[in-house]
This record gives sequence, C-alpha cells and structure tokens, in this order.
Amino acid sequence: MEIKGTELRVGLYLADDFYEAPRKAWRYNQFFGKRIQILSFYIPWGRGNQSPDLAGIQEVLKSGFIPMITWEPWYCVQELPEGIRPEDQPKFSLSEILRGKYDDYIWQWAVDLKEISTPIFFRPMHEMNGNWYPWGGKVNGNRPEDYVEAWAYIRSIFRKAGNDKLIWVWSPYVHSSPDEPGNEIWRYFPGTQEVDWLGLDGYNWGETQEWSRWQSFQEVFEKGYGHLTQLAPEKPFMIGEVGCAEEGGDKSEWIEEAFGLLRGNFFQIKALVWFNIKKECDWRIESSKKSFISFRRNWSLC
Amino acid sequence: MTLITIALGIFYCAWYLQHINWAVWYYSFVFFVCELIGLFLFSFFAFNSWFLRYHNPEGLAVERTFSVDVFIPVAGEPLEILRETVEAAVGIDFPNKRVYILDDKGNPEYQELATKYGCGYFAREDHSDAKAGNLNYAFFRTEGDLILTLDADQVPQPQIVNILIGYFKFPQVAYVQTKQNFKVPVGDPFGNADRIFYNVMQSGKDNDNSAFSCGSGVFYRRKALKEIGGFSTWNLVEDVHTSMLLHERGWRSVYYNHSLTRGTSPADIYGVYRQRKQWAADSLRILFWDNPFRRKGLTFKQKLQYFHLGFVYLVAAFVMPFFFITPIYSLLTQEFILTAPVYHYVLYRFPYFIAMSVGYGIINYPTPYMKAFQMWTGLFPVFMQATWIALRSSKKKPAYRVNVKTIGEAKAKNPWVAILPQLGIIFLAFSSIIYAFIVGGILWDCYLLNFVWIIWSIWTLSGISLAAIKRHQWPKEEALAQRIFPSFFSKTKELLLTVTLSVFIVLFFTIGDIYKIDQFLSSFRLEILRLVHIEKPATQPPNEIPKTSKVAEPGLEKVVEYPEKASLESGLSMKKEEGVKDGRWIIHVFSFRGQEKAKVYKEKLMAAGFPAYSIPAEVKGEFWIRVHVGFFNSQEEAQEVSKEIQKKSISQGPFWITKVSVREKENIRGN
Repeated sequence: MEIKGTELRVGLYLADDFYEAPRKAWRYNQFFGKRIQILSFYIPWGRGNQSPDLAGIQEVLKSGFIPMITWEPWYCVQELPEGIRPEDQPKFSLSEILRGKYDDYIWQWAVDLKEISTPIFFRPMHEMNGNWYPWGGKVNGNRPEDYVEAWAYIRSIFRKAGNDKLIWVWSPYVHSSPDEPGNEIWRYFPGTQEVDWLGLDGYNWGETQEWSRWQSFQEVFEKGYGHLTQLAPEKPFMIGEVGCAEEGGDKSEWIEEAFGLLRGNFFQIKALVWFNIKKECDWRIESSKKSFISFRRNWSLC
Repeated sequence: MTLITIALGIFYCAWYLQHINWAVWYYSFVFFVCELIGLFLFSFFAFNSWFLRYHNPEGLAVERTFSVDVFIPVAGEPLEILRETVEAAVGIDFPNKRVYILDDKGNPEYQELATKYGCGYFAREDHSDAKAGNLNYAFFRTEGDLILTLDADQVPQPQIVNILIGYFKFPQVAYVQTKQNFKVPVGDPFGNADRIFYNVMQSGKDNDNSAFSCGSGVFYRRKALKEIGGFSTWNLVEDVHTSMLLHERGWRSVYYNHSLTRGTSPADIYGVYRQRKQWAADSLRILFWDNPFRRKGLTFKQKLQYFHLGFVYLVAAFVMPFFFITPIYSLLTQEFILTAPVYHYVLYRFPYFIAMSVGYGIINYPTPYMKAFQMWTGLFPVFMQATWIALRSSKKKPAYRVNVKTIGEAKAKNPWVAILPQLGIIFLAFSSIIYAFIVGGILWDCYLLNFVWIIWSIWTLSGISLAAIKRHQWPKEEALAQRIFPSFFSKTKELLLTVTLSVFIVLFFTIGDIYKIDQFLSSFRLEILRLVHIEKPATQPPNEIPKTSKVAEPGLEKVVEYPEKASLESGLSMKKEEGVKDGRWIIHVFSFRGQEKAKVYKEKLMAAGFPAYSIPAEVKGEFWIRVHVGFFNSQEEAQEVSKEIQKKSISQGPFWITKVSVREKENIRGN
C-alpha cells in the first residue's frame, strides 16, 4: 500500500493514547503553523492488546493524522517482574514466533486491521540490531536469520488474512549493538518484497551518558542511511525515531542542520518522526525555546 | 426543529468540552459559557413561542360598561404632534370618556389646546418621578373606571375603546396592552418596528400571563392600580415595574395582538440609542435591584419571563461582542479555542447553526428576524452603558429624557461618533484578516474558518452602522396606508442564503483537501506579498511557543524567509550597501569529513575577519563539510580575498571560486 504526496512528512511520538494524542498534536499543528502528519504509537503483545483498538485508530485518522503502530512482541518493561532484563524473554524468542505460538494472535490483528481502509504505517520488531529487545538478533537465543524468517512469517499470515492495507516499515537502529561481524544491519533486511518503507532510529545523546558525545544529525544517520539506501534504493525512507539532547551542544543548530540535510543530501527521507518525550533525556522539540523556534522555522522552509 | 436544534446544541457543547484548549482557558472557556448562554436563550425563546395566544381582532363583546379616562402625558413634545393625537383621542367612538392632557412642562399652548378640544388639563407643580409621577398626579384626581394611556405621538383609532373594553368583563384583568405600530423611516433601518417583540414574544408571554405593559397604548383598570398605590414610581418608566407589581398581586393581563394606535419611532442613531438605553436600563434595574425571583407572588413562569426581559440585554451587552472578538483574537495571537481539526468543528457547529437559524426563522415566520438580530447585537455599547447605569442606581433613578422622535433634531451630532465601537470592531476584524495573512505561518483551514466568522461579525455589525450613517426619510402617507404582502421568497431569502452558505462551508471544509488548500493559499500569499513588495515577510507571528508544554515564555524572533529566487535577487540588489555579505560569488576553501575540523577552520577564518560558513555536501556518496567564504559581488573581488587568505597562511589553496547556488544560500548556517 502506498500513500500519496512527496513533501517531507513530520510525525510525533507523544506517549499518549489514540484519543489524547490527536488533541495534543493538533496543538502542535497550531504552534508550528504546519501539519503534523504521523502519530506514533507503541503496542506490546504482552498482556492485553488481544486485538487492535480500531476505534482509536479511526479517531487518529479522522483527526487528520496517519498512525504508525510499532508492534512489539514482548512484555514491555512495566509488565515485567523486577530483576528480569527486558531482552531476556524466552517466551518471546523469535523461534517461538516461528513455531506458531502466536499465530492466533497475529491472525486476530491481521483480520481486525482489515477494517482500516486507509493505509497506516506498521512497524513490527524495530531496532532488531540492538541488544535491548527480546527480538534482537543477538539476544534471547535469536539469530539474525531468525529475524528475517520471523518477519516473513508474520507478514505471510497477514497476506493469508487478505490484509494488504498496511505500510510495512522495517526500522533498524543506526548502529548495531553489539557492533561486531555477524550483526550488521544488512543481515536483518527481510527483502524488498517484504518491506514497504525503510526506517532508521537514531538519537543524539549529547553528553547525557558516560559513553555518549555530541553527534551531529549527519553523524548519527549517515552510516545507516548509506547502508539502507544500498539495500533498497527505490524504497521510501523514514526516520522512525529521532531525538536530540540539550547537553553538550546547540540543539537549535542541530535541528537546523537536520532540516538542511533532509532538503539536500538525505533526499530519500520522506518522513521524520520525532520522539517527543522526556525519557532517558529531554528529547522533545520544546525542551528549550531556542530549539522549538529553530524547529518551526526550519520546518517552514521545507 | 426546536428539539433538533437543542439536541444538536447540547451535542456540540459536549464535544466542545472534550476538545477545549485549556491552555487559553481564559477565553476558550468563556467562549464555551457564551455558547451555552446562546443555547439557553434559543431554548427560552422557542418555548416561549411554543404557544402563542392570539386574539380576535374584534375583541370581546361588551357586557358591562365602564367610564374611561384617556391620559396623554406630555413633556415638551411639539404642539403639532400632540394636536393630532388629541384630535384622534377626542374622536374615539365611545360616549362615556374624558381625555386629559398631562402636561409636565406647564406649557400654556397645551392648555389652549385642551380647552379647544374640551379636554381636561393637568399641570403639576413639582416634577418628581417623571412620567410615572405625572400619571399618578392625574390618577388621583380623576374618577374613570378604566384608564387608557397614550403617548403624545400615538394616534389611536376610533374603535379602540369598544374593542378592548370587552376584556374587562373578567374581574381579574388588570390591563390590556395593544400591539404598537410605529411609523418608521423608509425600510425601517433600525428595526424599530420591533415586530419580533410584538408579533412573537409578547404573544408568547401572554400565554404565560406575563405580557407586560409597554407604557402606552395600554388600558388599565383603576381598581387594580389603586391596589398597588398608583403607577409604580420605582423605575424610570412606570410600565414594566407596574406590570410586575400587578402580576405579583395575582392580576391578569391581556396582550391584544393587533394594532389600534400609531406611534413614531426615533429616526437617527442618537434617538435610537437613547430609547433603547432607557428600556435596557429599566429592565436591568429590575433584574439587579428588584429581582423577579424574589417576588413571591409571581408564578415561576412569570418570574422567568421578567428575568428574561433583563437578561437578554445582558447577553447582548457582554456575550455577543465576545463572539465577534474571538475570531479576531484567534487570528492575532494564533491561539485557538479548540484542539480539534477544523473540519470536526465545522461538522459539529454548523448543523447546530443551521438548525438554529431555521428554528428562529420558523418561529418568527413570517417576520424576518435577521434585522432584529443585527440591531440587538449591534447595540451592545448602549446596553453596556445601560448596565452600568442600572448598576449604579440601586436606590435612586437615573435621569429621564424624552425620546427624540423627529428627523434632523439630533443631526447636529455626528453619527460616526455614535458607532465608533462597532466601527472599531469592524476595523479590527479587517486588520486581523490582513495581519494573519501577511504574517503567515498559520494553518490555512484555521484561517479560513476564522475568516468565515469574521465576515459574519462584520455583516452583523454592519446593520446598525449603515443605518446610522445613511440619511432617512419618513414614508409618504400613501405608502403607509398601502399594505404590502411580501412573497414567501422575500420573507425567507435571508434565511435561505444563510443556510445555503453554511451548507457550502460545511462541504468545503469536509470534502476539500486541506493539503491542497494549504498549498494553494501559501503560494497565493507569496504571490500577493511579492505584488505589494513586502520583501522577506516574517514567517512567524511574534507570539511563540506552546504554553502547555513546560517551555519558557515566547520571545520575539523574526525569521527571514527566502521564498523565491526572484525575490531573493531583488533582495540582494537592495542590500548592496551592506557590503560583501550579499554578493553572489564565494570562495571554496576547505572540505572536511568531520564536523569538528570544519568548525575549527571556519572559526579560524572568521577570527581573521573572513565571512566564513560551513555547508554539508555529498560527493560520490560520501559526506563532506565544506567551508566557504562569501559572499562577493564579483569574481575579481573573491580572487583578491582568496589571496589574502593565502597571505594569512590559513590555507595555501587551491581555491575554488564559484557562483553560489540559491539552495546553498538558503542553507547557510552560522557566519
């Protein structure tokens, strides 16, 4: 499924539900004087969510936004008992998926989502080249090959259910973790037939972490962008998650550079979804006045 | 229709509450309250008109006879006007009557007139309590069973007494009010005929036994007045308060919905202002200082009716202007009352609006209500003043002035001054449209929606403004006699137009592709701005940032926009005197693979006084940061500077001197 339009789509993750997020996003629309087009949501398989909240998805669409659903086969951190590492969930290992343990669940979603007649972004098992999710290729007893198989397996169930409305986004992290041979991004690519959009998640952590330093937008994304565009040069490309810390540099300049690159060298990138919450650090666009103004100005030049 | 409207209204209000923008609660919530009041008024109006009581034009058969006094209170009206009235009063077809002129100015000419027509004449010494005092003076000095009061300019028809007297066979009836018929300037620009009031509202009130006396063209029973101690002198004008006192005592009233008299209405803006101000102030004084809800004798419906009487003025004074100001404020500050897409708003609000328009149209049919609405909302400055007056005068009454009723008398004053507040809002409305357009950076569907409401405000306020400015003429006598039967279409054309427009608006916002609208309007904006030579408009409005999010208060930052190459170039030639910064030649000095190194060399160059900047570039799939120096007006100039760079041994070259691309110029950052 494809969506129309060629201009850069900007999206937000707001950590709100299907009903509250559109309202908040509409406020951002008013402040930016431009339209947010994508709203990002994360849905763990874990407890509940036996079927998609169709009414909620419709609400987002009705409000003029395209929902992007990141579909995560795990118990999310809040659902886990203490002391268990989130990536350590044998119940959700890729081989379990391949063995058919979740067929009913996947089928349910595939059938239910047919109700949605407009295309939405669907992003299962993102950042698989990292070691922090149970579907990561180097944890939980998984291998990168399992990931490719699991992806194809899930998608085949959707095909069987006759669900061809979704835009399947394959979205690795900008660099692999562990960064070693055998864990390169290309090993996880399910193939051009299986993927509709390419995605990349990446953050400039600034100096918020011991291991981090200030990285420009280009530094964060250029390697991954190079890899992915080589894998499938004809696919549209999105930044599925991006954020920038305030510490260690000038966030407003960082944003300015980002938009400059999106207009120029990173021309394949058709959408950018900002991870607009205060989590590990204040990723938000509005973490400071300067940063916010810079975002608005540079976006308006797009 | 009423029920549909109310349902839609409640539906809309509930939806509004869900999507209200609490960040600007001080006006989004007030707006909500205003909407609620609007809904309440409609419901009240609709239920009031649910049952209208109509009376047979012939009145009731006369079963008992009474003696009748006709009071004509005068306070300095011209002799000619009075003569006509007196002549007609004397000519009333009823034997057992006596006409009195109640002269509050002690004018000997009036006395002559009275003698000539054989009328009684009273001229009191002290002039306390204005009209009510004047009436009471006569009241205690006459004997008639019934009293008919007429204004000095109110010409009665001869059969008036014979028709109305029949109602007094019921011993509880205290007074009968007739419909007032005014001689108005051609086209009734001020809506003075008050047809809504007389055709619809009074008949509805009559059904609740609360039709109130309008002070003239009204027939009182002496016994009833005696019980409350004569005409009420509590208020400026006796009518409403007297009615309320009578109703409290359990007396009944009748509204005879046909006209038996002909009065004259004010013909210029000052006259209209004064008259309306007086009515409003009186009604509001009752509301504030003699609240009908505290009058135990009144039935609940009567309480509500008297409350409503003052309340509508409050609404017109303080609620309606808010509807005008909201879209203007939204455009000026880009703060919107709702956090929902525009087409949702349109889908919820406009069906309600259409239903309400049709509802009002049906209830008032065949009387068109648009003009009454225009007047009612347009007079808000007067009603505000009246509120102030009423609030100040809890005990003592404000000064009384006779209504000015002749064309030209007040012409000395400039009508433009009188409508300054209305013109002010109209002016603000226009300027906010233009301001938001120039500033840009707005969601265009929001802009269009506010645009629609602003046009609506301007239309509403234009009614009174145009009426005030134009010169008016009295209609010819023949025209008055002629009765016009307007067609169904002419009676409903305004309503049809409103409904059609609203439906069109709904369709536009729901079916139209907002992205296309965005695109079209923003390029249209650039075209216009180029045409009028506003170069480099600020992209952003001066106000800044979400106040909800925990972000510092907005600052003022103007952003320069380079929309088109053409305007860029004209901008360049304009700013030559500023030096090298705006030329079109650059020197390419370095390329680096890392940001840090580029930064170091850029700063080196800048420290040496060269206008350097860095720019990312992709060369054969690899990323580079270029460091350029520029801009220069010619190649030669650039060459000379490059030699200087060499001399200062920042770089030995080779230098690449080239013309700058528009894209690069847009993208430069730092200097």
